[in-house]
Amino acid sequence: MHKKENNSIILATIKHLIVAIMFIILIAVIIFVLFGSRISMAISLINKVSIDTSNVVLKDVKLNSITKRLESYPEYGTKYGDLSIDSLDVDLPLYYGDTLSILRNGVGHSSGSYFPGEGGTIVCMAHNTIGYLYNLSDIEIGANIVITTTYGKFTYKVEETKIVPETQVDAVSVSHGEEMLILYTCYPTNTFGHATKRFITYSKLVDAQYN
Amino acid sequence: MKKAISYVLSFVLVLMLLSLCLLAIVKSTILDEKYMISKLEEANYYERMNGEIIEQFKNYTIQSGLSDEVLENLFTEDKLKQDINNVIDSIYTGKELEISTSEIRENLKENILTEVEKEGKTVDFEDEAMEEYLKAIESAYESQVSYSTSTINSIGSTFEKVISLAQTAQIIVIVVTIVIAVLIIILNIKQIFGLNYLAISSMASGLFILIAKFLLGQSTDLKNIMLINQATSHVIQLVIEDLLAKVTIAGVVLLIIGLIFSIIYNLQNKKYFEKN
Repeated sequence: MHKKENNSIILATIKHLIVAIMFIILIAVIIFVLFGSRISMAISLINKVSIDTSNVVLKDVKLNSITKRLESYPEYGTKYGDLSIDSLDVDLPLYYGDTLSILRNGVGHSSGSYFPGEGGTIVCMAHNTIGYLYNLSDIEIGANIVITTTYGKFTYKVEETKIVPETQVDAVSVSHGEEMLILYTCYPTNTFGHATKRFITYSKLVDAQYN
Repeated sequence: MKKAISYVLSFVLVLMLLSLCLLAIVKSTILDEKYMISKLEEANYYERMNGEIIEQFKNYTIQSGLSDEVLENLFTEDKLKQDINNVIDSIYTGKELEISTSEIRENLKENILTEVEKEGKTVDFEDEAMEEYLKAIESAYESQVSYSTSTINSIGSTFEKVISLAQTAQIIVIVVTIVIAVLIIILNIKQIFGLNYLAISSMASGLFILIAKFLLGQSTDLKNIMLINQATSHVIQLVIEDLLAKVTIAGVVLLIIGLIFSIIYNLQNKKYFEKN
């Protein structure tokens, strides 16, 4: 009898729980109807600002040979290759992104430009100090700049160099159709303070070897 | 009819309990200036910000032809702490925020002169490049401490209103909750004071909170939130952890209260039927 009484109390409590769950479902439906799109927007916003930063080279980046676009892009702030200029004894890691923090690690790649192999303008930059591109202004026309990535090796030949004010943003404009590497650094290199000019090299793709 | 009204009141009570929990938790955390300052202390925010600011300074110095030595002793820890606390105060009270960087500029100029003289060189502070560098350092300090002074000032005026609104809302919700609970009790005074409806409300609120917390954890990566800089992100992560902990406690307490009410009701109900 005692066990039967306990069972009936438990059953009665479960009935209350079931009604509680029905209330929850009703509230969830109301919230979904009233705020459904805002909730998914809020969740995607939270996930956008949730960044798990790493410094690992992305091993599975592949280039689609038909569309000439990467099938997956590196995470912002991560290294995806190396940039070397043999004639200047330069060999630096190449990162996706161009914040000041990223540029302390090596060469930055402007997020508004194309990637090597995509047939468009690639814009890269680095500091003008020792250990970076302090001697970029010594580069000669015809010198090679090589970008090595996990998906291929791309060689660019310098065709032109320019010195422009930092405000002349059209000097680093991005287009599609002909693959070009724009690599620049602050200029001049032997002054104190914030350099107000940029030394820019313009190089065309002359060789591409895909992995 | 009485049953239907009681169920409707019970449902509304769920909404009131949820609102009450949310308001109580938010008021005691995000909307409380002292709580936020305690979280800054817990997160070693002042020391971390010191590091963040120096790192930002280095980002500008690396391309300036100067060494990192020029960045030594530009500001004291006390000044930084005072500026940060002024930012917090400005957010919560709506007071106008002003961050002075003149001390930093003067100290930086002194350090630059010392370094440049060591190398037997000269520097012209009237030069555009040098002025840009000094401005960049001052701006870096201000933006790291306050993100943007104008943004803080506009947030402050809104935040003050939000805090006042939350206080008013909490009073209203408490009153409505009590009224509804009393109505349920009065309507069911002969049926063990309607404890079953109160139980359902409490269980529903508790379960909703726990399920919502679980779903939020599954669909978002709150632990890796990155906003402004590492130091600020760490504080935000601590606050979120605290909020979630309080939410869990609220959910569990409501669920247990609901279960207790339900069991008491069922025991009393059984005795009532046995008597009759």
